[in-house]
Amino acid sequence: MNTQEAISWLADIFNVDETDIQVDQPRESLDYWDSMGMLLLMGELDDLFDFTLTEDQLKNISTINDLLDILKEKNFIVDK
Amino acid sequence: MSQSEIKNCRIAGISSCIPSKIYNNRRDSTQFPKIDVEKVVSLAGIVERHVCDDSTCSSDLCYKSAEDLIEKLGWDKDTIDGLIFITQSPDYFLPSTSCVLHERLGLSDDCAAFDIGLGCSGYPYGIWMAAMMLNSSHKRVLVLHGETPNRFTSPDDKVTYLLFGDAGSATALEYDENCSTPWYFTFGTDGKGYEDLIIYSGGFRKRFDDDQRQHYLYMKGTNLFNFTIKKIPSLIKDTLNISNKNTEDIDYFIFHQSNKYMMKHLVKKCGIKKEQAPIILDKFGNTGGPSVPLTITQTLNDRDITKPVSMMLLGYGVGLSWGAALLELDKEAIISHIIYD
Repeated sequence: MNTQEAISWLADIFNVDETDIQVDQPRESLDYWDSMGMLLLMGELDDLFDFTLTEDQLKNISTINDLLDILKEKNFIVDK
Repeated sequence: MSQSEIKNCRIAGISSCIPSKIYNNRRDSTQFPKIDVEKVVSLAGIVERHVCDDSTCSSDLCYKSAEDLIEKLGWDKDTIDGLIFITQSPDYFLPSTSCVLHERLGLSDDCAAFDIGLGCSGYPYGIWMAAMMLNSSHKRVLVLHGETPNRFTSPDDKVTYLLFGDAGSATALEYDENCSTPWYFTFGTDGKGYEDLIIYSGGFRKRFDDDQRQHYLYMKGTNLFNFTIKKIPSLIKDTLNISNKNTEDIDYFIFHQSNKYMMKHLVKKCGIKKEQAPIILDKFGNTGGPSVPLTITQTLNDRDITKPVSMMLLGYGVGLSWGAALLELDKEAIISHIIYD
């Protein structure tokens, strides 16, 4: 998937509009990305990519962009 | 990975015991915003849970289960030569609560009794220890597994308070040279995750803490989910491999009842059918390790008694610790469930 599709996918997971996916906002300011939201995200990462975040990644992800960067590194997101 | 195969044991019966008081998450949690409560109810799947008062311990629930089971089995108490009490909510730091239970149950001085300080992984470990004892010199072993996690979660913590219920259980095992079907066990540990579920104060690292919150549970849910999806599929696969079985050969996968979303995810990932993996979280919450025997009693109380039932018991969590026991429950095994008033 590309970045736009990833944002749409995240909006589905968190059950919000795409415009609510603020890629640079810190996680603490995003109501939908609480511990429950994180569980849903982790489940979807496992389902779709068979991928689990490391403990360090879990600790250090603070924005949607941080997550997107990890997915790009893994080639789960490819922008042509 | 630590694996073993043990024969000549049978489970004579399992009894579970829960307190009568019910805490309904939607009705009774007035201290949290309704939207947060609804997230827990829908994602974790916990609508209500049975909770003890402050004078009731896990040993009380296990004592009632044990008396219930011993009576239904018609066992002479002097024939019980092993008692294992598994809990992370003991009556005292010392003596072992198994000794207190030994006295309450009126067991013989020839009975070996000890505690195991494990939580969510406790039941497979307890069955394994009992099986090894039965294959040395013991004839009848009681495995009592109880937990009162509602008593160690802070009423102000929305992360943990709505999740846990209290329960106790008794499992009676005996040596039987005619039981040739092997039982299989797999265990693992990752101590790097010891802080993912922890009560920091009250033990000997820090006995007394002015900050009362430190005497209650802390939980890192995302780390626990990560651990679960990484370790449990391979736990199931390794246990099936050692027994030369496939998922279709197992009647039930009895998971520790942690979180409905996590459990459904695991079941799907492992290729297990929904009907093979009972979930009882909605009525009982997460009762820690005793959720495994409690799920057995709730699922099998009206089972087809014309044939044995094969079960893989799966405990995973605090420690981080995990274990599986693959065994058969024969058609004569007694299943019972009682309420503690």
